[in-house]
Amino acid sequence: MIAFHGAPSGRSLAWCSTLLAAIVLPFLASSFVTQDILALAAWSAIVAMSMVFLSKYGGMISFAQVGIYGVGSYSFAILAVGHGVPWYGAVAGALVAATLCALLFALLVARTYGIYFLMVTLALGLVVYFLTISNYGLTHGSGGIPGVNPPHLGSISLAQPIPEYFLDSSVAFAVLLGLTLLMRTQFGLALQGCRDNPRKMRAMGYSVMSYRVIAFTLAGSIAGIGGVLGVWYNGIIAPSYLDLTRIIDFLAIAVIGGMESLEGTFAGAIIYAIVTTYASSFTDRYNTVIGLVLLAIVMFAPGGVGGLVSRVGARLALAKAQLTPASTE
Amino acid sequence: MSRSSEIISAALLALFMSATASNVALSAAAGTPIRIGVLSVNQGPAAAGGADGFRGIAMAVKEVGGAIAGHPIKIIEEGTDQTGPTALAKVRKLVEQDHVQIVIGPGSGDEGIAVSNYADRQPGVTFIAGIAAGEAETYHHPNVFRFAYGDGAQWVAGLGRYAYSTLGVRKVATIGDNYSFGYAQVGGFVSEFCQAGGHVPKELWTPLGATDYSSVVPQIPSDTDAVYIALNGADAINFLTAYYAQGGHAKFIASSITVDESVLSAKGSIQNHLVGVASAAPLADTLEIPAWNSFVKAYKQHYPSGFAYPSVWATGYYTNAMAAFTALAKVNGDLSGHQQAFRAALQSLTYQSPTGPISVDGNRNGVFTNYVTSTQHGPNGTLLNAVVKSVPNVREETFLRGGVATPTHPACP
Repeated sequence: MIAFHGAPSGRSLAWCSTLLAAIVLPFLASSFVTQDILALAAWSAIVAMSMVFLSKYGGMISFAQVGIYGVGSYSFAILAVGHGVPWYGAVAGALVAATLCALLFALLVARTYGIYFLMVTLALGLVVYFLTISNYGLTHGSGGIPGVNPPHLGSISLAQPIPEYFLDSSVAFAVLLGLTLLMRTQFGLALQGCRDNPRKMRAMGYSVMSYRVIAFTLAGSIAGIGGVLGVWYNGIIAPSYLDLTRIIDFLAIAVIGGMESLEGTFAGAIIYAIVTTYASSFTDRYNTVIGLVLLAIVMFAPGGVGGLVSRVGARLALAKAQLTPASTE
Repeated sequence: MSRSSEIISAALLALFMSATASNVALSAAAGTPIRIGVLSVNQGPAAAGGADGFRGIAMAVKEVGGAIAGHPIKIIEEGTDQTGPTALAKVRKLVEQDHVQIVIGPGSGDEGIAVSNYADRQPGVTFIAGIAAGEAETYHHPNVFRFAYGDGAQWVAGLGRYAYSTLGVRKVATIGDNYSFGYAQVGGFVSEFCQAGGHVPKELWTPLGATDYSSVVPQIPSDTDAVYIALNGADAINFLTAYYAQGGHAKFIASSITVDESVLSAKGSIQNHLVGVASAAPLADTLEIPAWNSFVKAYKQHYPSGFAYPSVWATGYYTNAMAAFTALAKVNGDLSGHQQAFRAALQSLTYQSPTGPISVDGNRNGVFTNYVTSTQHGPNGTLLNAVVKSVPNVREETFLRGGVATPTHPACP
């Protein structure tokens, strides 16, 4: 019925119902699901979005995002726990540090493309890991910095499941919205131009290098936001939160969601959280289960959940078009 | 078109299906199960040991007949990979999803830091460390207890003095796994050895799970009398292989986990170098006390395919579980009122463990007997740790005088 009113209203209805579900869900689900699946998925999706954003709009698959996320987490922990800086100051410091780190990395990697870009960013991600493990004075070595607590807003503790969920999910939603809108601006279109045909863009007078540096730095700020929310969730930051396994974890979230879909990261993060949490109840070899899920996605749905949904959508539209007799509208 | 919203809807739908709204508080009525979560390692270099930890728990449950004062014991196991993030995710699941009232574990230093930190957010749950032995892990966490076996520095009590006065060693280089347990194991040895008058010119640190030690070996000064090795499981085997391949000849002294059962049962030429090695640990294969003998007998009977002797994992997890069960029996399984009665019982408990009496100090950290050992040939060509000295009443504060051990502290170059 509703579908016949045309695309825009159907779409907004879907959005509204999704939003409504996102608001109601935490009150129906157990506090475990609210915090350890949904809130975890929300901040993980932010980090994954910084990856997918670079890949989708900039054509850059970056493995350095987890390292930058770590810079955000560590900066917050060092400022708040080590130096007693109030939380808002520490958040600002963490975001500045993550952004500057991303800018530095961007200047190093902006000239590389393809597989080389991937390898250089992987190396940079691991540089952060090894720095945190060996720099005992600043980062407390492999044990890391415990005792990080999210702030209280009035009488509400952001460590509680429902407040944490609403904080993390609304920030994640704001990031999604911001990036989507930004990509419709002239800057966004130019960035996508640089992705598709850098030589032509250069000939038209655009500085491809600058666009890549700005995009990478912006993605770094987003990873830094994920870093702050992540360290609030975990209560601790340590090198093992930045090692190769975690880099692959976030990549898995991005791949499950679809490297071409910012919204897909939410689905990817939720699926990943569910599989990692519940698979271990059934088998000791839960890493194998995660691997198989990933393999199935890559083989049968290369576009991830995002790609799958749009493919099914296209199929349905096609079927409807074939079933519907000549339009009377 | 409506693709993005459909994706989110699909994800949320998946969630609705998985969401469980059961959040029922457990009352202390007779017959109510006591829910206990167990964290041990089941992946990575320490997986073999971690499996032995689960065996120790199973033995303890069996020993009390699966129930305490009419309350059946419900054990929920979770495996980790020796890292903080995994331990944290698993303990969250145990506490928030499975609603366990007591957590026993984890088994590794960095995991212990993450779990103790999490304990602050769950004041209603009592955490009893498995054998995670980072220093000061129970400090400032009133709901965290650690019977077996205190911190990693306590595990080598007696070894530094033994090396100086009995082995006559004066200059030692150390190599340790670069994490909290490694710091504690090196720190415990170095502080005692330095006090005795020895010198440690070089302290080397390598990442946990490293496979190639060939670049580390040349950094060991050639005039050292002995190398003190604080590497675990597979790491120790890899280091020793590289060390002897490059013509290493110094005597070696081992930390508690370097020549534990998982290394002693390693096959190959490495075995030739493992005879007559001094080390120290809270237990030893040939301990001549009746409680140990009957524990070993029970272990071999239940697990003929396990290690030759119960490892520190099996013994430690067993001891912590039995301490918890003994305290629970004293309060008739009463965990009401924020578990205050249970915690008071734990605090005042002296449990006669397989390795000797064990209790906790004012910081809820273990006080126990430690053993200096030397490796010897046992029956059927196996190797075992023979006791050469026992050190009673080892307390954590002895080693914490200058603060928690770090890669550069304590030192005496």
